Order: sequence, then structure tokens, then C-alpha cells
Amino acid sequence: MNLNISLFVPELFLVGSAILLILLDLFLPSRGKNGLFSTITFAVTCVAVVLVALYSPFSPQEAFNGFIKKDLLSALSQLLILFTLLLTVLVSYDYIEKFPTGYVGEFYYTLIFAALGGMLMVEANELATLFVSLEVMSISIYILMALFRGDYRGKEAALKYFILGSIGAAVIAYGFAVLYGITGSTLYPEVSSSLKSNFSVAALIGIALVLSGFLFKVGAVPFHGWMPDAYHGAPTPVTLFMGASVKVAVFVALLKLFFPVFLPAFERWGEAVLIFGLVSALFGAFAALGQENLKRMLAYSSISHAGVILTAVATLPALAVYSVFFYLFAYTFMTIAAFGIISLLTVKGFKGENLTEWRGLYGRSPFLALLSVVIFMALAGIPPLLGFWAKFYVLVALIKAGKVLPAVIVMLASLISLGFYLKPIVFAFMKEGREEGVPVGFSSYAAVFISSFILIILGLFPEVVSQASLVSLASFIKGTM
Amino acid sequence: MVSLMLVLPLFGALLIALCRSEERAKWIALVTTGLVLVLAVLLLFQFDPSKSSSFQFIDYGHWLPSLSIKYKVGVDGLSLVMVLMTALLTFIAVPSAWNYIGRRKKLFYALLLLLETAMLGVFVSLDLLLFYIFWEAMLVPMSLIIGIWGGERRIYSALKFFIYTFAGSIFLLVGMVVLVVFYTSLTGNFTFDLQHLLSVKLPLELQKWLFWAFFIAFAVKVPVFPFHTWLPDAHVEAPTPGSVILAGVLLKMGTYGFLRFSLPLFPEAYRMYAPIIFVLGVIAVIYTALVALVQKDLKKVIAYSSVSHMGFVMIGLFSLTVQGIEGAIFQMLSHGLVSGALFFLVGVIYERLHTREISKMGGLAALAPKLATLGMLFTMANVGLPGTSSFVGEFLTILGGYKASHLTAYLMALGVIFGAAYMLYTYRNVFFLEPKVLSFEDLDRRELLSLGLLAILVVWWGFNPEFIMKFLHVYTHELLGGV
Repeated sequence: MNLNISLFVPELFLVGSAILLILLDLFLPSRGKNGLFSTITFAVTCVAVVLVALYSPFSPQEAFNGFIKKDLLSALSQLLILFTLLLTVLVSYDYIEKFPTGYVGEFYYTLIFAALGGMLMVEANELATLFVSLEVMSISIYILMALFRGDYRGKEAALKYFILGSIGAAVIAYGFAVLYGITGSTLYPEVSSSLKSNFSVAALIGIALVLSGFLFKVGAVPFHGWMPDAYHGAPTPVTLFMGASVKVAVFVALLKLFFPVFLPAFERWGEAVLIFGLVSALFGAFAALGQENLKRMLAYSSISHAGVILTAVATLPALAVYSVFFYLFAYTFMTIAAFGIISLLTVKGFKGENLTEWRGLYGRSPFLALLSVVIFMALAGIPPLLGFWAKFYVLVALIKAGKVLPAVIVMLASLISLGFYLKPIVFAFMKEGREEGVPVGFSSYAAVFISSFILIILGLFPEVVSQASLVSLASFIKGTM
Repeated sequence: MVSLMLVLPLFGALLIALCRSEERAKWIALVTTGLVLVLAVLLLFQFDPSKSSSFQFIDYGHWLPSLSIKYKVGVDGLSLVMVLMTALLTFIAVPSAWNYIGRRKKLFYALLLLLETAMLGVFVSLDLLLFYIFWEAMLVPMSLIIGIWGGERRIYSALKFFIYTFAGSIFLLVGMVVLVVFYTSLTGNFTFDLQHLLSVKLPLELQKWLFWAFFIAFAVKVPVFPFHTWLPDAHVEAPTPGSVILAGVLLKMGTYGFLRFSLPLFPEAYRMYAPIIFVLGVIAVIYTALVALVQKDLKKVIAYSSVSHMGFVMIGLFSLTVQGIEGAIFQMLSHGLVSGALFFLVGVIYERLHTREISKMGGLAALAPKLATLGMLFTMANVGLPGTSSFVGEFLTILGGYKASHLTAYLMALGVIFGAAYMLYTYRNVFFLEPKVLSFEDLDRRELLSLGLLAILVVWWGFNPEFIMKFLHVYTHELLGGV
């Protein structure tokens, strides 16, 4: 038995804190709960960030008899998820002040559980662990979407996402079952060595099922149907959290599963991933063009971004890990900032997600309008913002792998995307609107400011992110050899 | 020193953001652009013309070591002239905006300064990726300037400008990465450094592909016929300072790109495709001159005239002769000054009459003699009258064209005649004929000073082109020697 439980301190700490919050929730009166719970969650997350940083090993280490494997790729992804959680808490505090819910306590500890699920996903080294952690994350998010009283759109979205998401999960589970049937094990190394020595058509079916499930979770075409409704219907802070952290968790889990384990069939699934990626990149960009609702628009744009990341996955393994991690890093902060600003601008009777409400934004709050330029230009990939570098790394990876035509298609998708990313800026700066401003909450303002500031500073000095991607790649490779 | 020029406008923009008063913004902008101009002139005097083919004042630092992307800037003869022009025209753009920009002044001048950094950056970058970043970064402030302070169809024009240029540059980025990856496969050294990349000779097949990838990006900017349709929209809708910068500086980025990248990197493809460029250039010269002849909007006349004049530059560049290339560079500078001044004049008239319809003007010469005099001077300069800087540029490009292909030169000369036709025709309709307005205020001191400065330079460099040309001789010889 090799439990190696000391490696698991950050996760245990989060579980403990979440349980503590559940207990607190039972005994505390509901008044003032939002402030207290958000502060506790914020503090807990900060401690978890420190713990993850302290317990991140460069040489990969296993725990729970190899069910969990930690390396720097997983540690850095966990940090990304925790940062998302931190900023989500900041945005949520204001949101709950504006739109009260009877389930304040539930909201915050479910958020922690969702983050925990994501954190386990990126370090899973065994199929069942991966599945369970995926479900922990997904189920927490279904709950989060439906927690606001009187918000029927949110409940509808939660139900839709729940039904379709369960099908996605079932497909993954079935794929895992097939793989287990062939290889007789659920541990990555054993599945891997068994596939290496004896690769059959059945294994390919298993891989195809798992891949479909993953494509569903990242919202790639043709499994994207739930995305716009879920993104649109969910309360904005939940959309923010889901948009950023699910992408990180699922993509990193995909890298850690597909590259070491399914490498013998890389030729086959690589092609498929590339095609799904290109189609998603183009489809998302085209579909977003027609949207008048920013959350729907960002949902389609997220399909497009997922497509771009998928094309990067389809390059050579080393390039893929490097550029995918870089992209996820940038995408996390772009998503937080974009949904953060929508949540910030939303008050009763004024929906920040409607483009028409963006009219004359510069007139009432110039600084927010300038931040929105940073955010949407970063999403569009205009230099020198972080989003540009993400796109650039994917481009370099694709061309190094000899895929010039896909590179051109990715760039075309980014050209089409420009057509809608410019819309909010046009409304904010070039159209006149009402003069009186919307009261903005301090904490979500801070979240938007921090994430846009990161987009600028790391855009000017991308070396930091680049180094982070490099060490996570190095650590990942060390673990798979 | 070059880095200082890049940082100064950023600093000015920051200062404007921090200062509370809307009125003080323009003074900060004036001082900042003035300082940049002083630096540019200092650079001119410290530059060693006998070594104009090599880069001087190089500033160098690692920026993104993991992909070995460098911050590397410096100037050679070509860059020097472009930097001077950029600094000069941005400095002129501030007084041209003085009264024209009535609202959101802080934002305007801050954007103008950001734009200046990006434009200067394009002309001094020695790293391909750095160049691309400045090239793209420039789109945001320029589109905002068109879209916020422009005319009626400003939003359409701003988006068209942004998307059109971005569409061109996606091929540039892909082309650059393909080039660098190929270079890496040869030398094992992954770098975007232009001077390193120049050291390998690319196979012809790759040159052809890359030439067209780069061509699209640069051709949209120049603009080469048939990629010019964004230009009349952008120019007409842009506010005066926007038009001054667009015509004066932005168009030259395209031709600069051809000289800096296409010619040295893909010499064989460049030579091979020169005839196609001649055809496109001649079409631009003649067709757009004819289009300019029938315009009713004063700004459109000058916008189309810009496309026509850039046709001369393109033919000069692709003639691959010393005269053609030197003439083209000189014409770039000269056209910057002249078109900048003409857009300034249109702005002056628009501020007073609130119209750009030529048919609503007339007889302004009697009401505003100073305006009419300067207008005459710049009209003649745009026609290419000997004694003005445009003559030098146009004559040399025609000479270069003649050496490459006689027919091209004849057709270019025909374009000069059409040019004279539309300019003189327009001048007559605006300044002579029956007066259609009752009162018209003549130029004030601010306008007189800025236009006077441009007028002096146009005449001075018309009579003494060697002042600029001396920075280009060694550069051009080396450039052609390497081809």
C-alpha cells in the first residue's frame, strides 16, 4: 500500500473546509451570510493556493497506489482552477448582493466542490478516478446553475445541461468500460502498456467513445448544442467559473490521458481531433456573429476557442502540451474578465449581457469601457495582449508539425471572430446611450481589473507564462517516461 | 535613443490619462510629439549616411527567450526617413485636431500618442514578430479614432478598416512563422531576428508562397489595386488628424514592408512577380486618377489621389533600379507631407463650412487668400510640379519604371496628366468660380504655422532632395547589390 497521503494535503484541506462550511451553514442565521461565507471561501482558497504551490513536485509523484499522479502540469492547472475560484468568489459576492438567493451557504461550498472536482481531474491517473472527479465537478455545476430563486432561465439551463451532460458522462463511462474490458486494468500505466502490445479495433472504439465524451465536455462541434443555453441561462458568476475551470480541467485531463495512454493510436485520433477542432473553430466564430446577447456570443466564442485548443492537441505531443497549457492560461483570464464585466454591469432592470445596454458605456464609466477594449481585443488575439500569444503559440505548434493549412484556418476563424469581438467596443464607444451610470460593486470590479491587468502585463511579458508552460511540459514528459 | 522615441508617447498617454483637465491633454500631446520630432531630427544628424545600409542605434534585449523573440530596434537609411516622416506628421496631426476634436479630448490625444508609438515601432523593429505586434497594435487606436470622431458612416468605416487590414495580416503572421520554422530546419536556430533570417537563401518554391503571403498584408495597407476599397471609406469618415495620419504614415507601412521584408527575403520571387505589380500599379495610377476626377467630395478626391500616387511608389519599388527605389522612398516621404497637408486643408475648410461637397464651395480665394495660396502650393506639389518634392519622387519612379519597362513609364506619365487634371479642376471649383459662401475666415496662426512648416519642407526638399537622398544612396546600392 502506497497511500502517500501527505501529497494530498491541499485537496484534503479543501474537502475539510467545505465540510466545515456545510456545518456552519446549518447553524448560522441567513443574515450577513454572503459576506461571511464569501470571506471564508476566499481565505480558504488563498490557503489552498499556497498549499498547492508548496506541494507541487517537479518529479511526478504518485499517491493512493497510483490512482493519483501529481506533476507540475497538474499543479499549475490546479493553481489556474483555484485562481478562477478566487475571482469567482469576488464576482459572486456582488452578484448575490444584487440578486439574493436563499442558498448562500450552498452556493459557496458547492463552488469549492466544483473546483475540487476539477483539481482531481487534472491529477487523475486512473480511469475511475477521472470519471468520479469529472462527475463531482459537473454535478456541482448543475447545482450551482439552479441555485437562484425565481431564476427560471437558470433552472432550465441546469436541467438541459444535466440531461445532456449525463449522456456525455455515460459515453465516457462506456468508453472506460470498453478499455477496461480489453486491458483488464483502469490504471493509466497498465492500460498504456497493454494497448502498446496489443492494439485492437475494440480499443479504437473505446478511445472514440472517450474522445466524444471529452469533446462534449469542452463543447466542440458536433457536441456543442448545450453550450449556448447553459452559458446563457446560468447565473453569470457560474458561467464564469464553468467557462474557465471546466475547460482547464477537461483539457489537461485529456492531455494526461490521451498522450501517454492512447499514444499508439495518435495517428488516428490526432486526425479526428484536428478536424473536430477546425470545424469547431470556424463554426463557433460564424455562429457568434449573429448573437445580440453577450453571454450567448461568448458561448459560441468559447466553442471556437475550444476548437483552436483542439487543433493544438493534434500537433506533436510535446508541442501540444506546451501550447495547450499556454492557451488555457490565457483563456482562463480572458473568460474571467469577460464574464466578470458582464456580471459587473448587470443590476436589476439593466442586463449587462444585452449588447444594447453597452451603448455609450464610455460616457458613463470610461475606465470600464477601456477595460472592455483590453478584454475583447485579448479574446480576438490582438497583440500585445495575452490572447495574442496564446494564438501565436498554437500557430507555431501547428506549423512546426507541418500543418500550414490548419494554421491558416485557425487564423481565418480569428478573423471572423473579430467581427463580433468588436461589437461591444463599438457599442461602448461609438454609440450614444443613457448617461446615468450603473452602480458597480467593488469586489467584482477588482476581479475584472485584476484579470484584465494580467492580460496586459503578461501580454507585455509573456515569458512568465511561457516558462510555466515549459516546466509543466518537462515535468509531464518526465512522468510519462 | 530609438527606444526613447518609442517610450515617450506612451509616457505622454499615461500623463494624459492621469491629468484631470480635458484642455490640457492637447498641450501634453503637442509637447510629447514635439519632443519625439526633436529626437527624430537629432537622429537624422547623428546618423552616418555612409553606412546607411546597416542598422544604427540598435537597442537590443531578450523579450521572450523561450521562443528567442527579441526586442531589437534600430534604424537604417530607410527607417530613418520613415521615422522622420512619422514624427513630423504626428506632430502636425495635433494642431489639425486642435478645434476639430471637440469631445472626449483626453481619449483622443491618448490614442494618438499610442498610435505614434505603434507607427514608429513598425519602422524600427528588427525582429519580425516585434514588427508584427506593432503592425497589429496600431489597428486598435486607429479604428477607435475613425469610429468615435468620424463622420456619419464612421462605424462602418472603422470596422471595414480594422477587419480588412486584419484579414491581410493573418497571412503575414502565418508566412512569418513558416519562414522561421523553415529557417530553423536549416540552421537549428529558432529566431525571428531579421538580420539572421536574411542570411539564408530560400528555395524559389517557398519564396513564391511567402511572397504572396506577405504581399496580401502589405498590399492591403498600401493599398494596391484591387485592395484599395477600404481607403476611401476610412479617409472620408476619419476626422482630419486621422486622415493626416492615415494618408501620411499608414499607407507607407505597406510599401515599407515590401522594401524591408519582401525584397531582401524573397528576391527571386520579387523579381519574378514584378510585371504583375507593374500592371496593378499602372491600373492604380490611371484608374484611380480617373475616379478622382469625378468625385463630388473633396476628401474623396484626395483619398483616390493617394491610391494613385502609391501606384507610382509600387512601380518604383518593383523596378529594381537605383532610381526607382530611391525615388519611391522619396515619394513616400513627399506624399506623406503633401497628402497630410491637403487633408489638413480639407479639415480647415470643413471646420468653417461643415461640408465637404465641392459644389457647395467656390470663390474661396477672394475670401481667404492665405488658404488659397497654400492650397495652390500643395495642389501643385500633388501634381508634381518641378520645384516641389513630389516632382523628384515622381520623376525618379518614372525613370525607374522606364528602365524596367518602357510602356509602364508611358502609362505612368499619362497618370501624371490625369493627376494634374483632377487637382486643377478641383482647385478651380473650390477656390475660383462664383463665390457660394458669404464669409469665410482665413487661416489662423496655428493653422498657418503648421501648414507653413509643411510648405517649407516640400519646397526645400524639392530644390534640395539630396538632403534626404544622401541617407538612401548606400542603402539602395547595398539592397540592389544583394539581389
